[in-house]
Amino acid sequence: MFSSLRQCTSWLHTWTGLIVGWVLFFVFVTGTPGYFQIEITRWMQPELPMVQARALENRAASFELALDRLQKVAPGAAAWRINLPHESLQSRTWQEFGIGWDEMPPDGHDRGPSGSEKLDPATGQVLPSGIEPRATAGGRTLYQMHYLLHYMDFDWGIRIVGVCTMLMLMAIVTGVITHKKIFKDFFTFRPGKGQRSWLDAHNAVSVMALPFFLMITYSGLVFFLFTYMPAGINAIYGSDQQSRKPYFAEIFPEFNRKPVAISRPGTPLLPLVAQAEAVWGPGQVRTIGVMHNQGAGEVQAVTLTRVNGSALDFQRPQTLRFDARSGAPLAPEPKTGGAARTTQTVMLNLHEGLFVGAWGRWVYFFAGLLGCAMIGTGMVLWTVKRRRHHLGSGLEATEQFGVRLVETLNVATIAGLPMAVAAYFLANRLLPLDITDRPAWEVHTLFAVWLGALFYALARPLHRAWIELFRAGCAAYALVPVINALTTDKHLLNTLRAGDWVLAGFDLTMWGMAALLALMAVKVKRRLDPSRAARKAAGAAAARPVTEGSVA
Amino acid sequence: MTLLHLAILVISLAGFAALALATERHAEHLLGRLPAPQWRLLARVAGWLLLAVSLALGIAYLGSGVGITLWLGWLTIAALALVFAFPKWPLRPVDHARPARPAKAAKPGAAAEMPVAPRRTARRWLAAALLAAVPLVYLLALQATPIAPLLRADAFAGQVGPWSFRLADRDHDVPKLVAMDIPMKSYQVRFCEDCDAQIRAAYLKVNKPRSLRAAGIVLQGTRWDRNVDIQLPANTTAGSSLWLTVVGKDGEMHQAQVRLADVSPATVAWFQQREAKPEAGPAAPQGAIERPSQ
Repeated sequence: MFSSLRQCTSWLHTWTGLIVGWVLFFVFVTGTPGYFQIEITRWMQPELPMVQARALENRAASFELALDRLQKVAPGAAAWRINLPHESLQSRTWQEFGIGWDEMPPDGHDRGPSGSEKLDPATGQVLPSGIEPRATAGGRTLYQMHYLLHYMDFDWGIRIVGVCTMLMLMAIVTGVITHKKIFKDFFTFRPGKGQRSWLDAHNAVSVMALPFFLMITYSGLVFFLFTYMPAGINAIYGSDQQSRKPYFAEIFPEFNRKPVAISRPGTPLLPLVAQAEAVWGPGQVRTIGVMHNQGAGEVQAVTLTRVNGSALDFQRPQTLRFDARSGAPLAPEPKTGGAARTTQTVMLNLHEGLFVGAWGRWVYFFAGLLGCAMIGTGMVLWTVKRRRHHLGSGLEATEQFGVRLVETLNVATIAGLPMAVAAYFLANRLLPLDITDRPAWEVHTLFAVWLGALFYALARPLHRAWIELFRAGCAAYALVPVINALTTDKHLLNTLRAGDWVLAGFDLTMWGMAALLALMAVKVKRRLDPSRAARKAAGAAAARPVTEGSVA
Repeated sequence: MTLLHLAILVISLAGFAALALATERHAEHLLGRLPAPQWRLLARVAGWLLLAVSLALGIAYLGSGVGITLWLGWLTIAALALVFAFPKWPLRPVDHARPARPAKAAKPGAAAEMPVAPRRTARRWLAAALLAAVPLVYLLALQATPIAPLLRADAFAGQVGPWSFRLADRDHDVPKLVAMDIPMKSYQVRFCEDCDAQIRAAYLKVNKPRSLRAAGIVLQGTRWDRNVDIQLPANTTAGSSLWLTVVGKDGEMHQAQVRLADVSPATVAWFQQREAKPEAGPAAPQGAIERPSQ
C-alpha cells in the first residue's frame, strides 16, 4: 500500500490525529487550567476571606496546648498530628495551626475514624471550621474532565481518553518521522502563505514543545497503567479485590501497619523542631506526627515531616524521626515500594507538575496551551489541504461532506470550547446560590454553550462562524472579571490592593485569554475575509508579475 | 527565584539566537548578509555553550530533576519566541520570491466560471432552531431545578441531645436500586455551626439501632454538607423512622428519630406500592441476604 516508511507514517499521522483530535483538544483545554486548579477553586469560592499568613508566636506553648487538646479529644488514638502553619507546594494556600488524629480501629476494621480541628495557637480553643463557600464544581471538576470526560462512567471515561492518548503518542512519533526536516527547518516560520504557514506553525509548535508532548502523553498513560493493561497483575495476584491485597501490601507496606495506641510524648517538641529546622531551614516543618514506630525497634516515635518541596519525588517529603520518650534520633524510615514505584511516582509527578513553583506552573500552563495550538493547527491543516475553495468564497457548501463536517466540528471545538470554559466561570458567579446540584449546573453550562457553538457553526457560513465565535469567546473572557466585580467583593480593585495575586492573577489571566482570542479573531478575519482576499489577490497580480517558480 | 528563571530564559534565548546565526538561511535573514564560515562555526559553538550554561544554572539551583524539567520548558518558550519573532525582523532581505500562484479570483471573467454556492437554507434554519432551543431548554431546566435540600421548607428541623440539626432527603425521588436491587437513599444533614465542632461522628440508619456498633452509616463531608447514602431495609413501612445517632467529642451519645414519612414521602409510597405487588417484593430481601457472601 505504501512505498516508503515515510508515506506510511504520514498517513498514520494524518488519520490518527484526525479521529481523536477533538477529544484531545478537549483534554488539553480542560487539562491546561488543571495546573491552576487550586487557584481556580479559590476564585470560585469568593466567600472565603483573603488569606493572611501568620506564624506561631510562642511555639512551645502552642505545642503544649495542641497536645492537651489531643489528649482530651483523642486519648489512646493510633496517631496524632500537629499541623504547623505553613504554605507548601501541595496545598498552595496558607495552612493554619491545627491538629488531627486517627482513632484505633474498632474490632473487625482495618482503620479507625479520623478527625481534625483548627486551634487558636494562643489559647488552644477549637476554632470554627470556617465560612461556608458557595457550592461549586471548582477547578477540580474542570481538571477531572480531562481524564474522565463527563456524563459517563469512570470506566468509560478513562478508556476513551486512554485510547485517544495512545493514538496521540502514535501521532507524535509518526509526526517526527513525517516532518523529517523539523530540525533543519528548526526556526522556520513563513507567515501569510496559507497552507505553508499552517504547516510551519504546526511544526514549530510541535517540535519546540516535543519534550512536553512526549512526557505528557506517555505519563498520562501511566496513570491508569493497570486498568489499561491488567494482565500482568491478574496473572500473578489474581483479578478480584481480595486476592489483590498482597499486591497492595507489597507496594504500599506503610498502609498495612497494625495500629498501636499511643500516649503523650515525654520529650518536649520544640527542640526536635529546632533540630529539623537546622537541617531544612526555618519554617520547613509541616507536621509533627506521633505514632508507633515500626521498623527500627517498637518504640513510639515523633516524626517531623518537611513541607512538600521542589523535588520530582514530591509526594513523599523528607522526614526525621525521634524517640518519643527520650527525644533521641531514630533511623530514618526506609523507602518502600522500590525503584518501580519511584519511577511511577516521578512519571505521575512530571505529569501533574505539582513540584514546581509559581514560575514553573506558568511554564506548564503555557506548554498546555501549546498542546491546544498543536492539535488545533493540525486539525485546521487537514481541512486546508483538502478543500478546493477558499472559505471566504462562500462556496464551502460545494465541498465534500467529509471536509465540511470536519470543518464544522473544528469551528465548534477550536473556537467554541474555549468560550464554553469562560461560560463555566461566568456560571459560577451568575447561577442562583440556593439551587440543588449547583456544581452540576456549572458543568451543564459549559456543555450547553459548547453545544450552542456547534449549532452556531452549522447555522452560519463557516468563515463567519470562525470569526464570530472567536469574538464571542473574547467577549466571554473579557466579561469574567467584570461580572466578578459586579457580583462579589473579590474584584481586581480589592485583590490588587490586598496583594492577593491568586485572585488578581485569575482575573488578569481572563483578560489575557480574551486578548489571545481577539488576536485569533483578527488573524482569522485577515485570512478568511472574502473582500480582503480578493483585493489582495488583485493587488498582487497587478503589482508583481510572476517571477519565480516555487518556494516549497 | 524569579531572577533565576529569567536568567535561564534569557541565556537560552541568546543560545538559540546564536544557533540561528550559525545556519545559512537565518544568518542571511538576520544580518542581511552571509557571515564567513568561521564566524558561523563560532556562533554554533557559542549557542550550544549558552544552552549548556542555562542547563547548568537550572541544575545548580533547582536540583537535577526539577532543573532539567524546567530548563526544557524555558527552552520551548525561548525557541518559539524566536520562531515567531524572526519574520518580523526589520533587516529581513526584501523577499520578492513569492510563489507563482496565479491569482485565480482576479482573472477577468473568473466570477462567471465559479460555481454558484448552493443555498443550504434548510440546514441553516434547522441549526438556527436548535441553537435557539439550547438556551431555552437550559433556562427551563434551570427553572425546574428545586432549591438545595437543606434550604427547602420540608427539611426536617430537630434537636439531638444539645445540638440542633436539619435533615433532608437529597431528592424527592423513589429509592435508587443498586446491585441486587437494594434500595438506597441519600440524605443531607447539617448541625448548627457551634454544634458541629463538638461532634465526633454522626450516623444514620432506618429503624432503631440496637447498639452503637450498629448505628448505621457514618455521615461524610464538610460542616455545611454532611451527607450519607443508606440502604433501606425490605421491611420499611410508612411507620418506619430514620435514626440519627450522634457521638460528641466528650463521648456522650445522643439519638433522634425522624419519621421517614416526614422527609421521604415518595419513598414510603414506593414501599407501600411494592407491598401491594408481591411479585416485585422478594427481590430485595434476597439480595440483602446474598450480599455478605459476595
